[in-house]
Amino acid sequence: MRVNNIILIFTLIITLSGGCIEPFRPDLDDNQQLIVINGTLTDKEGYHYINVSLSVPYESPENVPVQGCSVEVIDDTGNSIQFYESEPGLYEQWIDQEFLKTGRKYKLRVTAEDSLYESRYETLLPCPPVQDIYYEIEKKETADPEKTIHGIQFYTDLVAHNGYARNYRWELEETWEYHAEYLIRYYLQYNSRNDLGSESDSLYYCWSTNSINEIYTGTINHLTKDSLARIPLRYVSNETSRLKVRYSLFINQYSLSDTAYEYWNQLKKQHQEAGGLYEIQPQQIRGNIYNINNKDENVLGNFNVSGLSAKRVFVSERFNFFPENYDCVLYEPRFTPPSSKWPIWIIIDHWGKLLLANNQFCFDCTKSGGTTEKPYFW
Amino acid sequence: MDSLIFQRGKIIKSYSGPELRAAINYSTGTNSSVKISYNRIRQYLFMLSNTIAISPTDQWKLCDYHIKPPFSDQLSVGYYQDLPLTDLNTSVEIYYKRIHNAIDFKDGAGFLTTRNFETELLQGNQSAYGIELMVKKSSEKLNGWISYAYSHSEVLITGDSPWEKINFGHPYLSNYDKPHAFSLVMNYHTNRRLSFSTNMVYSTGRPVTYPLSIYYIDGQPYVNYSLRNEYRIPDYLRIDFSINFEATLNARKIAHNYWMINIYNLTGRKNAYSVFFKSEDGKINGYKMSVFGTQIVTISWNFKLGNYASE
Repeated sequence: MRVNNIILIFTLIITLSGGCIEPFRPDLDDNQQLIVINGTLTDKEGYHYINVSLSVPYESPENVPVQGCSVEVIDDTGNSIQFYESEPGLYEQWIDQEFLKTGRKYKLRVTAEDSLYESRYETLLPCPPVQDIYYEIEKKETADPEKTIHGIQFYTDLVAHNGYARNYRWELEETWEYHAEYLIRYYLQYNSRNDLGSESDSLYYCWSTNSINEIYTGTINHLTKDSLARIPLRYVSNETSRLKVRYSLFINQYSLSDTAYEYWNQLKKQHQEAGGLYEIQPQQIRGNIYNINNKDENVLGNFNVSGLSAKRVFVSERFNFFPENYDCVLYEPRFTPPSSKWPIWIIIDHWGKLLLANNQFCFDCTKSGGTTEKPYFW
Repeated sequence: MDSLIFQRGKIIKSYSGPELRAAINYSTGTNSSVKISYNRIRQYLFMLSNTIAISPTDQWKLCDYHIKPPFSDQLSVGYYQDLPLTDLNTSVEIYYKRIHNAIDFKDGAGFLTTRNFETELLQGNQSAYGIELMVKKSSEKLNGWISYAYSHSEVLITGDSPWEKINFGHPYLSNYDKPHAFSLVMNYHTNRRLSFSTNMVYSTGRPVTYPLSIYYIDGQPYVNYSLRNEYRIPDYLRIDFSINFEATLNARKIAHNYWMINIYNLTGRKNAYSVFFKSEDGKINGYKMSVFGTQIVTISWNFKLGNYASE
């Protein structure tokens, strides 16, 4: 028995001696709270925004705005425009067209936390109009060999002859129309069946708008021709209801200098890491803003000066690659739903039977996050 | 865009160069000497190592059309002194090494998914220097050695365009820079039957690039990393201890045996095998993985034919 005990102890020691992983927090003597100054100046008259915030330790990510800064944009002829703080950390100003001229240089000056930060002078490079935006139906394989996703992949061409910038980035915003599954006629409230009298489509038509977070960049710097074709933009799949009725993509095309393009490319590489860190060699990304009195201070963010062109495209084609959807199956309820969920939309079939749908968004399209207000451009 | 077309059997690229060795050994006395050596080494095969992922990956790569072979020049000078009265041998050696065409992953390089490695690598210069001190004792009762080395190794890879620079064109510590390396080996024979031995290894942790903080641009989170190899993973320290117990020393024996109790990692220190970070629920959490993070005791019984003195 004593031998058995000894063997048990030895086995325990050996199993515990295998690889073990424990949480580890390195001692970072670097200041984890660095100032982040980011904003874009375009050549189009309108409101312009500069954000000032602080970076945070990586275990507790949150947006920490810096309030009470003095923010101004100065051009190379001596004009300057002061920004005012509209929300914590957000500084904005309406800028007239006569201040924004292509070929002029602009720099940002921010006084924050008793330090003066200035960016380099950036030239406002002209931006050509957005070329064709077109799409192609494409399939994508997934990890499951039997499941493929269908969708459309948007492309754009870039044509930038002499005089225009050599680097560009695109910012996309999507808007789509979608419908609920059923029109509303009857509803359940106060334990009784109520009849609207006729079918109502007040909660049937919805529109949803979403800013797309991806970074898209392109350059013609090392090409012999001044154009680049088939630059891939967004891929919209059949996994959501985006393409079921009508879809629209709004494209903002920004012109970039060579250093700004490098900056956005570095952001793009880091942004594309899905989930895991260190899939690519990590690097410190530096923008164009410096502390006047301390050149070594690492100021995060970038002051972007870009020419802007915009375009909107619509996709009205009816696609037929949507999979079977069981989100809106009708069923007969066994008991009345609680009052917290009233009014419950119901359907009464030919035999007078009460049927519910298993999700409220089957009747009320706003439950999916959209609004019944039609956008002005639709 | 252009393509280069090579016919079958044609040599695409060839590299060659001489490798030189020279050594001088000069006796400054009956018990001391000075050695000077110089060598130039060329290397056509090298290892690409990504040691910052959870499971480090190593890939071997030959030089090709785009990657020139690294070569190094090393000069070392050493002074060796024996102290026969106390059974001590001492030595001190300094070296300086310069590596040309040193290879490293560029900033933002993809590790596993790239097929064209030459697009992820940059070449530059690396320099290293160090001093090594050693004291060795070889008496019957107590023998062993103590050695300490101080070294420094840094890399400079720079170019005209920003994508040709690593670490903004400033020098950074190489992946193998270990300023302090200390090792001690000691064997003590109390009598002919019982002996103890211990060894201790210490080295500074290797350099690493850490994530520092998270910041938001247009509502999207980004990670701010440190400069390349600005920090170090925790130091490595390990002490082993063993007891050797011989059986009876009778001259006439058929077989002789001895017991050995060996404790690996006596202090149970969880030395870092790798330090990695994972993004979980929007937060970044750091982890340290250690292998053999506890004491490992082994007991072995050995025997041989003959008595204790037979081979």
